[in-house]
Amino acid sequence: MTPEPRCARFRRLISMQLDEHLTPDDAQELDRHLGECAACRAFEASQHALRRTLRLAPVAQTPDVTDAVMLRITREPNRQVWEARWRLTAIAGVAAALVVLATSFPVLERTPQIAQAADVTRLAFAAAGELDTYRATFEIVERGWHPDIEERRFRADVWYRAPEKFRLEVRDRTRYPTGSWPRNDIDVVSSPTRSWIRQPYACPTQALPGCAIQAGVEERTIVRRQPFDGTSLVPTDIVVPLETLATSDALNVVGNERIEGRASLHVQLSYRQAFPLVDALRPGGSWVPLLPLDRVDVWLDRESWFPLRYTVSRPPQEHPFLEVSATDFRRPGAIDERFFDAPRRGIVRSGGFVRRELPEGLRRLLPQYTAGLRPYRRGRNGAGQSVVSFTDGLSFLKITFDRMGSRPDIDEPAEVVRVGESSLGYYRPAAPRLPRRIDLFGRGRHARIESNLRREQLARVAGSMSLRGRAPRVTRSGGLLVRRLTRSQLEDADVGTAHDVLPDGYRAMGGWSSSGAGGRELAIVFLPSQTALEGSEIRLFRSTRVHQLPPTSEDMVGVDVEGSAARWSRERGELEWIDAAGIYRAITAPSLDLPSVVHIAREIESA
Amino acid sequence: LIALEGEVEEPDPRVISAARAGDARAFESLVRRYQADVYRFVLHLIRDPQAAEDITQESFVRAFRFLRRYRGDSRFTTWLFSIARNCVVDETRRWGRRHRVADRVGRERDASMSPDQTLAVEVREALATLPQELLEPVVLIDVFSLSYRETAEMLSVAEGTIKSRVHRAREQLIALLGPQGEERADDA
Repeated sequence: MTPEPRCARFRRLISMQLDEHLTPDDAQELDRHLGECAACRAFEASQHALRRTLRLAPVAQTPDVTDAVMLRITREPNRQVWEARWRLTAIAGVAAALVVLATSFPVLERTPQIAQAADVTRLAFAAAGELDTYRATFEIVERGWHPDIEERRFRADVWYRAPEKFRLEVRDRTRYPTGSWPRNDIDVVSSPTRSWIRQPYACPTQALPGCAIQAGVEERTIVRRQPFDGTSLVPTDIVVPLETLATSDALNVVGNERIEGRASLHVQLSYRQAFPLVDALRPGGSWVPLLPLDRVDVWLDRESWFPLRYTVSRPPQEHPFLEVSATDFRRPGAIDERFFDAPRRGIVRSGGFVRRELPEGLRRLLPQYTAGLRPYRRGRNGAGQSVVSFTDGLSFLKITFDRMGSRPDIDEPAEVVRVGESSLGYYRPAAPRLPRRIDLFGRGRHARIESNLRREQLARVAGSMSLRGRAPRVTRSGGLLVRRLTRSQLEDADVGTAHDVLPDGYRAMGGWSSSGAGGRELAIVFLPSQTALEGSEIRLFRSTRVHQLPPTSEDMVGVDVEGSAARWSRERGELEWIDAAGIYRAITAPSLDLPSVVHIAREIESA
Repeated sequence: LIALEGEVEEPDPRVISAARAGDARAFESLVRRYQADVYRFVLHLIRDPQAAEDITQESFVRAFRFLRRYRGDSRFTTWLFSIARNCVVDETRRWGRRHRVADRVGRERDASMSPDQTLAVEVREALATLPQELLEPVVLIDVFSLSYRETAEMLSVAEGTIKSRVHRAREQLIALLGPQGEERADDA
């Protein structure tokens, strides 16, 4: 493609024309030449094609270096000055600027390709940090609630303002056969200090519609809320599902799909992981029960990471039980504050929170690293514990301090994790109304760190606190003496149980026994040793304190365990029975099905 | 996904001011916003994804250090690309000029690739054959829509030299990619 000598100059002009750098005279001359020279016309076309090719070439997956950069920057020598400054900056003005910036992004085309579940988690968390306000409307279709009602339809409206203002209105649009069916209308209004919920009060679903109890509404108010006191009344996963995506271990990335014309990412996970999202629009009232292993499909908007749609299904059944679709969502510039003005009605409870400065001794224990979150409310809760919190957008971090050994809650399954260079933390996955958390012990103190940050970030926060110790072996509470099981006791439990009875790879990771007036209790928690899948624990529990199975309104399944009548709660994944010796036993295994749990129960009983 | 490169949008001046005044959120938003562009730019120059990621990170750390000196004389994106380009220069000085490029060229094609992916590989391979002094101007001008003047300033050469280099680069690329470039570009 070597041009004739006289064409060489014109080719250079063609190049300059492409960059709009040609003088009018040169342009005229070039035009004349192009009229005569086919080779130069081809060259011109090729140049345009080349530029298009260069600009349209598919891009490689682009890594997210934000966390790494911000971490390096905070270690810069002038860090102290810098941090002090950004705390003082007028946040409101900057936040407004960021919103402008965020909404002016060229959208979908710039979104990086995603291959890894970890990318989804990271990107969603990145997006959530910048979020200030949110407004959305959802359509909900529900099936399987009652045999006489094929499907129910709802409209849900959500308003949110970071970090703790939330309003939800769920309106039942179902055409019920008669007027005696209760309408499942739900309202929630939350502000930093007060939450209020209104929900229908009605008979258990099975008793409908011919129920003797008069249907009505129940109202509850919580005043003096602690910061971030639970996910049910400020269920921010409906905005960006941080809690749901916090651990990417069991997240299945299906691929890129379009929902209502928007580029979305389709991911799959189980209900036991996705409940913070799925239950966000069902904080009260009566709904179809869902099971831990139900499949949840979520379509996340690739630009904002808002959930555009999610469904809950139980293969092989054909139709999903729940289909939720966003019909409208946006980030309004402002939301009238009155929207978040929670009434004080119905049953009023106090969270007991009082704003206070942190005692000097505790200030030294605060984390060096807070994942970039800013200090937020701090004070004392109703139990007299000191509470500090940090937030940014949707993300929060809350630390509760108390004296070592003063709390009996070492009974919960905890995974011992190494945090920082020399500390141990006790990690617990999210549970209904409780976020993920790590407990630290040391210097006669106990610190509970709760957060919707990513698990790695939560561990880093814990590692940056100067608490280096182990959980106390013995605690006293209300006349009970609670002892953590020793390593050798756990090994005995392994020998006796895990190898023969439990699924492969399960090891006894923790346990406790308690004694006091009225009896003794023993709990052992088994976890798969190589993974940290949330909700995969198996917990064995025994008590001489319980003499009959506690009543419940759940839909239970009756099962025989070696001659004892046992009952199975699908919702809790728990099998309970009183054995031949009169001892209450329970196996909780949300990730196993009934036959597997019954198998474990029979093996234990016959041993 | 097809990324439409081309002109990179400028940030809101208020965000730059806030970042310069030490606002971490503002700077973080700049990182988040421009990291993909910086990474792609660096990847065009160095062609090693791991090295490109490291250099992208380094570029923003340096940008943070120098941000107080940025007075808005040039576009922010041009300023940021200059920093990234300096980081690339440092890196290649350290490791030998574009040492990793040769390893990768010719190994990327795969029969199972889509036309888009094949085209992308061909473009990358064609760009890889250009000497650095031609590669930089054509990437800045044709991929990221910088002007001759901005490119000349960034590369510290005369504007006329840039015109000439970008022209030579295009000639070489057209010779390599051939006349089918047009059809393929339309497909893309």
